[in-house]
Amino acid sequence: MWAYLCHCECPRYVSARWLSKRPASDDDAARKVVNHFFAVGNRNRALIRDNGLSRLWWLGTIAREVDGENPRRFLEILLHRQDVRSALIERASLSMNRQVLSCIYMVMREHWEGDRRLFARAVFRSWMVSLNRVGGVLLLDALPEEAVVELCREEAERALAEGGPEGEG
Amino acid sequence: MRFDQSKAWPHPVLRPPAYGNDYPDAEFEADIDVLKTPGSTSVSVKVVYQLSDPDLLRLIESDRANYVLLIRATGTHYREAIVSGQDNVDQQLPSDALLGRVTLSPFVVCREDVEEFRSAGWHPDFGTRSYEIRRGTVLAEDMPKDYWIDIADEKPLGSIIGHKSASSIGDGHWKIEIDDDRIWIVMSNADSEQYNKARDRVNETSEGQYLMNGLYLPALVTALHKIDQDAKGYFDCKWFASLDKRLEDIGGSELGTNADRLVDAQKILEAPMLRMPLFREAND
Repeated sequence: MWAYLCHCECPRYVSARWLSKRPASDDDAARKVVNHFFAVGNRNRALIRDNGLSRLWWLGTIAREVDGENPRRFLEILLHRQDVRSALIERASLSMNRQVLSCIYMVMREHWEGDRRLFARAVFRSWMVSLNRVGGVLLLDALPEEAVVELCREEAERALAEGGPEGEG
Repeated sequence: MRFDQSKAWPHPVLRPPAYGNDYPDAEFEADIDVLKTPGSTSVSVKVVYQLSDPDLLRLIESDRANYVLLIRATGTHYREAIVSGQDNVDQQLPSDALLGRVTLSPFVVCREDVEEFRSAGWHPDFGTRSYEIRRGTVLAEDMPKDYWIDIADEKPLGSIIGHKSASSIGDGHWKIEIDDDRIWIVMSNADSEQYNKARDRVNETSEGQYLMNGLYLPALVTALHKIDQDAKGYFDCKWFASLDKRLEDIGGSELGTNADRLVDAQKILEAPMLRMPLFREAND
């Protein structure tokens, strides 16, 4: 279905987005076409990251599910920098776990509406690393939502205390 | 959280004996039954947990830890943790929640912080140490189990055996290929075209039964023999559980045994010989 939509309904968009720069070689061009016009290989990676249209649909679906009241706000926060999007959306284990993603987003929102220091590149990366570490020992799915939010807050505070530049980097 | 055989936990975790001996004399096992409603994707999950470490059992009895079954279906993006203080769980899952590969991972998880956790069942290497355990911490885990949920499971054999063409095969011959999705009858491009035309007429004429006897029966016998020789290797294939279930239904031996598959295949196909027009006419 995604291959059909990319070829027949929105080929101009997909071409403009992925093929506007001259490819480095024929292989590079072929790779881009296969990656972004089709949905091949790892199913989740193709759906979430590679296919030119499904990745937009996936993002929209998550935005509606995680912040049903204001999906645009979710997109504004998530898309303001590439590494934020990559850390939260392109990691299938996280973006498919809506409960945990919602809790992380809740804490992101608090900081987005505050001083935004959490979004400094080094701090945000440190926060993601610590959440990943915690998620390797705790089964977050088994915790009530408020406990996961609390844990995300604690780890955010820890990342902020450990430093990183002031303000958004 | 995925099962990682070589994972080093920061605290003792009761795991299958092959993957750790933090608790040398204890076991944690989950017997899981996934029951499908015929013709639909509605599923119920029955789990019986067996946990033998007295200190972990005490945590569960005092409501400080729970049994957790994490259910993940990547095909439908379904993910749910069934949390229970009981060692016997029976839960109906929403219709259409599960499709394709479903992974069920059993755990024992702490439900509140424990300041000085220790167990008499730990390996002596841990000495008299104790650990500060946060709520949500995994205390025991069993191997995850994979199931395939497919609405085609209950359909005729067409959901397991498919047909395709290959230019490398000469006209008049066909062979069997087995892959993750299906058991394939492979024939030349020209034969394949003829086959498709013939199959379109299967329901119009009783001669369609010749396809059943001339193709499907030998294909199934050959495939069953091949699978018997390497059942472990084929275990993760989509069709495996479905085919194994069919064998069980007809009283045949499970896949991986040296059974008479000619008999089994005829039973699965419901005695196709008797449905051939010449046979039926001879009986009239």
